[in-house]
Amino acid sequence: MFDFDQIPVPDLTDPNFAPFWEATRERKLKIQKCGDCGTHRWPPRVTCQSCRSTGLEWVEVVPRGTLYTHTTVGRATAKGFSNTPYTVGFVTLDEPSNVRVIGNVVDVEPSQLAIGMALEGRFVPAGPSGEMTLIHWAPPTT
Amino acid sequence: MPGGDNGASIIGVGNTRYSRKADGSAELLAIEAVLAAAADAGIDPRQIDGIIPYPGHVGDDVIQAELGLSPRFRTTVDMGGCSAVSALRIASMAVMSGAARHVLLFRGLKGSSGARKADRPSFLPGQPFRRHLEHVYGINTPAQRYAVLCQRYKHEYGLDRRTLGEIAIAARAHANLNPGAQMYGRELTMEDYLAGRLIADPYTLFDCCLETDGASAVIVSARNDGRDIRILSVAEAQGNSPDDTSNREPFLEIGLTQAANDVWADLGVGPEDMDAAMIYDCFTFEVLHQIEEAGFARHGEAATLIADGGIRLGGKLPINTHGGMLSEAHQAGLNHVVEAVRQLRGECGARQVQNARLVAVTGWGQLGDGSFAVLGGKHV
Repeated sequence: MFDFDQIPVPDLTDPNFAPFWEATRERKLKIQKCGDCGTHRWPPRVTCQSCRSTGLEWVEVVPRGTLYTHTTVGRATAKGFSNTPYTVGFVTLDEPSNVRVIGNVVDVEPSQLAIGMALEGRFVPAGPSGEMTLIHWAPPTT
Repeated sequence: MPGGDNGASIIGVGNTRYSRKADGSAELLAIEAVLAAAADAGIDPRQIDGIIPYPGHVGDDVIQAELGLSPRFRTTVDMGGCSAVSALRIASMAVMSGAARHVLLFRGLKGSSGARKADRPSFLPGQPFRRHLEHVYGINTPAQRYAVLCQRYKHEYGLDRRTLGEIAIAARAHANLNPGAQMYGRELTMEDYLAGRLIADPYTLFDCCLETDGASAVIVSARNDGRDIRILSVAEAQGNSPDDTSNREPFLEIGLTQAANDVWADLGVGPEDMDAAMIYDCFTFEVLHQIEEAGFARHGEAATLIADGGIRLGGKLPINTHGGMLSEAHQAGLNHVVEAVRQLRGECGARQVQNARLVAVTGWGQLGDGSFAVLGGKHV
């Protein structure tokens, strides 16, 4: 379905994202947590919006959540995504529940997509030589 | 007269023919629109001493060189589609401060026969987020980025496809009263709408604005003669955070929410006082969304206004009487300013709103940047 080898690879060494990409390679989802007040945040930023601290931890979270919103794309526009339709969702993590992550939703017919449905993350290698690991979301298998 | 008059006026507007494929260059289109706006204002183009171009379109350097201008003031407003209305504010400040007397805003692009949106440079904020979080999942166009807002609204408030269809069809009906519209003479029925091919669910073909070869121009001035249209109040704001929609909370709150509040408070008038509204219609749902965020309807209630001809000529709030970006042309919102001016002057012929005195104009850009203006004619 996806042309995994043609999906453009961002700069995996970007210090704001490197810990995220290193974690997905190990099949883990890591997000940011303020080193001072403990507020979780995503997407990655250098400052805590709650307390202005630049102290930072990257913490592993369970890749489970619920579908917050979604779109099924019918007109191909992006490199690596010439086959349509495909679906993108914003997924609210079960814990911490103030964080949403973006990813493709797979193994669900577009007509069966429902906001609030449970999803779990799957780690899939992509890029010309599999150098990045993406997170796709599918109905839980257990 | 409402309070808040900032003293600046729009003294000239102009545009080219809008088409899918123009013969001349983008530069020629831009010059044609600028000359038309200067003629409309009754000034020599060399009297233009301020200039605000639009990123990615024909540059101000071209206009300066071609017309021999020597502006004392130039700046760029980089807020995507809300730049047109935001630029009205910057231009107003420029002319009221004396930094310039006549400030030119213009657009010029072969947006249809040249490179299409997904292939043009992106000026969105948060480019690392775009590369690390979106492109890797096949998200790289406005239709995709905004479809998720519509989908969530649909979940929270309910939304019939026919409501979005009526927005598209009302725009087309207005365009069919506007011989200058790109889609003039092409009827759109609900059946056509519902048969549109999938772009990014819930958006299908006719939910999406046009791409256009064409140009438009507006001149803002400290002059305030009988025919000039006053910029009564104008404000801008951004979504929080401006570089990310995924973790925004409230999810559907946008810059316009604040910008419109600021203008209503400044003017001492409200949504019910507007004779028409020109709403930045990149997509059908963004008309509905902005109707609510600007206060023309409460949350979840815009569909009631849209039903039964409420946003058509003769309805409670005529919206986009030129056909908007859905059916007149994509001019990144500058054509909405042009239309507001023509309505307030009473120049719109078959599509004229009777006794139009106050017209609201919105801008929507980037990931939810918003701007809002109320323009007033000589009767105000």
